[in-house]
Amino acid sequence: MDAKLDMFEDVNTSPSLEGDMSIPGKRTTTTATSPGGVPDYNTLDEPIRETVLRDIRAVGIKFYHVLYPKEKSSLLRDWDLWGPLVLCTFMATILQGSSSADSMSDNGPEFAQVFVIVWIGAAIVTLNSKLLGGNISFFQSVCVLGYCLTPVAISLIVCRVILLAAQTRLLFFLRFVTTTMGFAWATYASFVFLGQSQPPHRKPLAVYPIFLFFFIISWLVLSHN
Amino acid sequence: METLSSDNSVELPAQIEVNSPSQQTPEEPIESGIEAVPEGAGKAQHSLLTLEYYQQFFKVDTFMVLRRIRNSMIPKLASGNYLRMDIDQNPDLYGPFWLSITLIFSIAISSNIASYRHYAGNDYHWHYNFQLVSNAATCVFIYAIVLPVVLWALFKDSLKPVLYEELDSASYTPTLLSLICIYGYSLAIYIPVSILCVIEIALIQWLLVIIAALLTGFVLIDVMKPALRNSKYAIFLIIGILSVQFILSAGFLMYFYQDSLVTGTRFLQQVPCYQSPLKTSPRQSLGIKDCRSMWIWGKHFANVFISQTLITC
Repeated sequence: MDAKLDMFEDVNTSPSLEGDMSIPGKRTTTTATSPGGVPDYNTLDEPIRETVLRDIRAVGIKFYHVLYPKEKSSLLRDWDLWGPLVLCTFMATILQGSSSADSMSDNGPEFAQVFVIVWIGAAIVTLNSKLLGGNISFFQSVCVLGYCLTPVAISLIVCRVILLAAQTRLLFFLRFVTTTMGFAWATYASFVFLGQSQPPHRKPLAVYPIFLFFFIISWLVLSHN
Repeated sequence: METLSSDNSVELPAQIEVNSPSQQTPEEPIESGIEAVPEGAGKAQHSLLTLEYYQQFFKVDTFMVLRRIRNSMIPKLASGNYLRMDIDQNPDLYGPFWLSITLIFSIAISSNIASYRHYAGNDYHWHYNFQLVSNAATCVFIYAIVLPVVLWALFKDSLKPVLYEELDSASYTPTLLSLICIYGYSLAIYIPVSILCVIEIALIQWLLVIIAALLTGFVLIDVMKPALRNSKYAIFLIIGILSVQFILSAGFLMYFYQDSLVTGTRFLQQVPCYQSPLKTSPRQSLGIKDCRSMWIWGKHFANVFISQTLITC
């Protein structure tokens, strides 16, 4: 009687020990990835231009997803802070008190004030959301809030263009409407991304600071002249 | 620590990644028990540097926050044991913090609107004054933080000596967090008041401000009654609380809405008039006449309301 011990090699069985050590927040691209989210190619040998272009494309895709908020995963899974930085710097540059024409000083917000309001404001809103028990990470939330400034930045550009003409009540009303639309769009977009991360009995408590954050920034945009 | 996600570990890479250090919403049952904390002992378990320690101050939901705001605006709406049963058991920092921030920005925005409307008709090239945000922030945070600390110290210091056969409530002083919570929520009524003060009629502005000060003063005294009863200096504390409310309200109106007060002043003649709207810096500090008028009004109202509270207490 032969007792045969069959030893089979695990060649093609489903990987029980294989898996992905994908660290949360690791930067992956949405193109050319295996199902595990790791790029197939070796990024060490490629020219720098391709690396930069890939990141720029990722940022551009996120801007697109903010403007048409249908798909959530790209901002949340592949968060990055380039977009918020670009937007914040752009808005702070335009919004800073350009009082060189008059003798008055310190009337509009300084560059640093806008910067602080955007970043510290996003951090405080995120902290509030986490303290209330939300299950979203810090940087994901800051990323979403930063990218959702895109409509506000667009309304700032439009207001700046309107300000080139001589001001009348109609133009002020136009600016008001533009700013309101940007504010509503930004709040709606961030609600789409962040709204699911809170339990329902606390959702208004978490949404109100987001509303306040965009309201303050829209106010800065509107009162800029 | 995995509490509920242990059966999802195979599918993680393809999903939206959530990176949360074992946070639980209050409605989820605590299943795995290594760090399971029983409900009542939550405060002692976490170190000061973790997020969980501060989560205990945010254990509120929408309904509770709205109820606390409502209780802070309407006197006598809360029960007699509101301070001990409700606020002390669950002091929250969500309300005070966000109400303060909202108030700061509503004051800054309304003040700018008021000064814009004052100067809109002239050739004066109006500029947004961003310094107001910093000033408003200073005032509001002093009120919301320094005042409760002072009051807490006074309560502790002035506790009447307790005989051992008296009730437990005779040795009660409110905790610092409860006082911060109460004072924070009492700011709620100033938000609509600050928005309505852009109306350029001095009578309405003063009326709004006085009503707000009355309501908050009453609410504060009513809520703190269990603690005031145990204090040696009850009368002085009452006078102090009320007068601080009036000084705060009047000061806030006279500083932040200076420009619109000038246009509508039929009621108070001592507000200093401006020479010309083309001055480069329209902001002036409060003069001696304003302080004297504020003192006279303050004394009058304080007399009326001390007698009222002495009757009710």
